[in-house]
Amino acid sequence: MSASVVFATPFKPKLKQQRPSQWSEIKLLEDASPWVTGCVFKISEFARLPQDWDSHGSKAVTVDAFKMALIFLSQSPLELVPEPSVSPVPGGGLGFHWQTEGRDLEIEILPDGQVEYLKTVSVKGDVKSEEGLLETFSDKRLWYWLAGELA
Amino acid sequence: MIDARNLPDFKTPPAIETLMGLYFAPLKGWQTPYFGLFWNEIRQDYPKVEVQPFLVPDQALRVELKSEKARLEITGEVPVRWLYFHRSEKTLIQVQSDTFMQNWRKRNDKDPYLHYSDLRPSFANMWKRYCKFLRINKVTVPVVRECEVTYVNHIDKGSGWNSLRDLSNVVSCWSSVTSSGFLPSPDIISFNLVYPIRKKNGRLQVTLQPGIREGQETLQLTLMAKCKPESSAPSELLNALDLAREWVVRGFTDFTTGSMHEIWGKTDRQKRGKK
Repeated sequence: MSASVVFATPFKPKLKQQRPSQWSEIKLLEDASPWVTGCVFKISEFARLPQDWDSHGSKAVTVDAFKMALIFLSQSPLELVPEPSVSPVPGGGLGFHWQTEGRDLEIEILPDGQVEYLKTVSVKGDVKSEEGLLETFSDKRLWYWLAGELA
Repeated sequence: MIDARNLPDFKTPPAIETLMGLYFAPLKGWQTPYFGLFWNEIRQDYPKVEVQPFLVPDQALRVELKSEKARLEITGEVPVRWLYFHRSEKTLIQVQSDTFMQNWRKRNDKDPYLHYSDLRPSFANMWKRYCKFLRINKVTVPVVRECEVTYVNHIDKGSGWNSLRDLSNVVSCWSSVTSSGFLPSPDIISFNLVYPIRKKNGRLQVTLQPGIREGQETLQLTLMAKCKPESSAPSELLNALDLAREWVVRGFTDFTTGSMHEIWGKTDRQKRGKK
């Protein structure tokens, strides 16, 4: 058995940590992939939408939802997360949506900052769904599931 | 100590963390158990500890083992860094075989900003206790190569800037104007500038990086000054730290704009009678 040693780190869309001697925590966007910065930009734009942004009486995105969306982005294992579509959700929340072959994942940041997920998988016309509250963002299982590596 | 009365001061500076550090040649005779023995000496004031990976210079080689079954054998002492947290939870001491540091951080908006003059005495005292501990345990006296002062500032979105288009409102050396106007506003701007401190063979590194902290978009502006001390005598170390601090404060003021100074409440230190 031999171990291979590499001297260059391949590019991954991870957010950088602060300098190790720094105590206060921050996630730096400097080396983030374009979709991450694009996402942050879109979320910021949605947070500026006025009341009734959809002409159907929807509430503006709440500060709690906006902050939680940024926390979600900064704490998720971005090296595993593909680019989502992002949208404001009626009621004052924000939504992230991923679609891969036969698998569908929706994450909704509720107006009070709680985060819900809805997983849908379709096998030979049989559709199964699972929903719940997402309490930690660093858990990689959701992303392995989306990639088809977990049942 | 440099007369701080001539230095710029701010009522509400964006500093969220400061660091004072000393770098020296690896201590001969230092062994891992000494981290615990030193903790025993200071435990009353620093009741919590954490063990972290050794700090390596930025240019050090990174080795990545790709095989999951790979075994890495390290003979001798495993280099580690111990963090000793003060009971106030506002400061910590970081120690490794070639480094001694003190960090202060602002835990929340209500925490008052601690000036350098507030933190300098505790740093000097802890360094003295550390050196005494080394002497008692017959470890070589540190020969300090460099002294560091770092200020980490978080300039939150909404406070002087709302998009990177507004960066020239924050940073004095930045202009968003391009030659022909072809380029759109950038998604990311990051700076890394190094200025020489000729007087003490040192340097001031200024970095600006966009980031996210607790759901808040912010610009992290870090000013790190490193100076070589004349000798390892405590008074010389403090002189070098004072100079590094002066460069950080003057550099911060020079690097940022007058309109941001107004937001942070720039004051005349002399009028306030503050050292």
